[in-house]
Amino acid sequence: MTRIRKLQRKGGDGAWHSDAYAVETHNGQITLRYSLAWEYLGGRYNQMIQEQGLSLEQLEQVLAGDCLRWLPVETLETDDEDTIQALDRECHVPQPATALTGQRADRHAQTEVITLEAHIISGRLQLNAPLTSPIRVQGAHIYLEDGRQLQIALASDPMPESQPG
Amino acid sequence: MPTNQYQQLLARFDPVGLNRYGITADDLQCIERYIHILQSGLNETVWDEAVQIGGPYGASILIHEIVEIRTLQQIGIDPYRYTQKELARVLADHLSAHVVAIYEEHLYLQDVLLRQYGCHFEVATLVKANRADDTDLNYLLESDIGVFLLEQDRVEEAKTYLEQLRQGRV
Repeated sequence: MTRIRKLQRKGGDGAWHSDAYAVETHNGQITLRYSLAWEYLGGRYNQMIQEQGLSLEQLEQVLAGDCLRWLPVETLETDDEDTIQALDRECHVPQPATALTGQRADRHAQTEVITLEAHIISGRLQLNAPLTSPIRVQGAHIYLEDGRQLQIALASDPMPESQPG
Repeated sequence: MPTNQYQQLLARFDPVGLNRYGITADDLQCIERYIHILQSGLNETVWDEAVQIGGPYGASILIHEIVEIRTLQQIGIDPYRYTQKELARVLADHLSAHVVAIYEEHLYLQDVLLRQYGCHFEVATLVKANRADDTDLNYLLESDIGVFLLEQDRVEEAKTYLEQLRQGRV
């Protein structure tokens, strides 16, 4: 089950349409998903909602106006991913970002193994990735596609000797 | 707004940014019209914010918008003929226009921070620092524009410099 709440805006022609919605994720956090018409303002409201720890029922506290109206909270039976995709289409939000559910990256995960070469040069680890690889490396750092980094640290302590059986 | 006022408005923004992206008084008029379609009904708009802030930071907002408009026009889309709802759909269907705009906006900010403060940040670091959530960063990282480095440990530093830029402090 997923709880959501749609935000509608009155266009220049006087018609109301949904171009954003708030969704309650597993951990209870509210995330506003918005069309590109909002530009960076959508992110600003997202931050305000999350910093103030607002619930779906309290969203008027940060986002209200004569040309804005929140619809009642809806509880949907479908799972998160399907709900989000359907609402994204309705509100013209571009494809779901991996940050929200983390499932999209898993679903499209590549099974091909990428081999990195590791060299120790003057006591420092130097990683090399194939030119065609989507992974970028620099020194001992591996930059992942989602922006995170992995750092490989060389251990200088000797491995503990195995105990004689 | 009368046409000659757009000419006067140009003086509020960083001339380097305006020249680099060939932004004219006519372009300002187009940007205001474009934002009016997209954001009418909101309590604040990015146009109002760009004009209020001015300088290099205000110019970065203009650069985002004009690049987005020109990219749409290059693929045969006239953004001014749509209603708000239709234009939101068009933008969602042509996400690359928004992504290119994010990239150019922050490429310009990268250059400004280097010129004004002698600090270099990766484009992805600046996007992360310049947005209140990760939506635009995710669009950029998931795009085909290139592979970006995010200096997670320098995001707070970048935020400080961007805030100084918004405040007009050198």
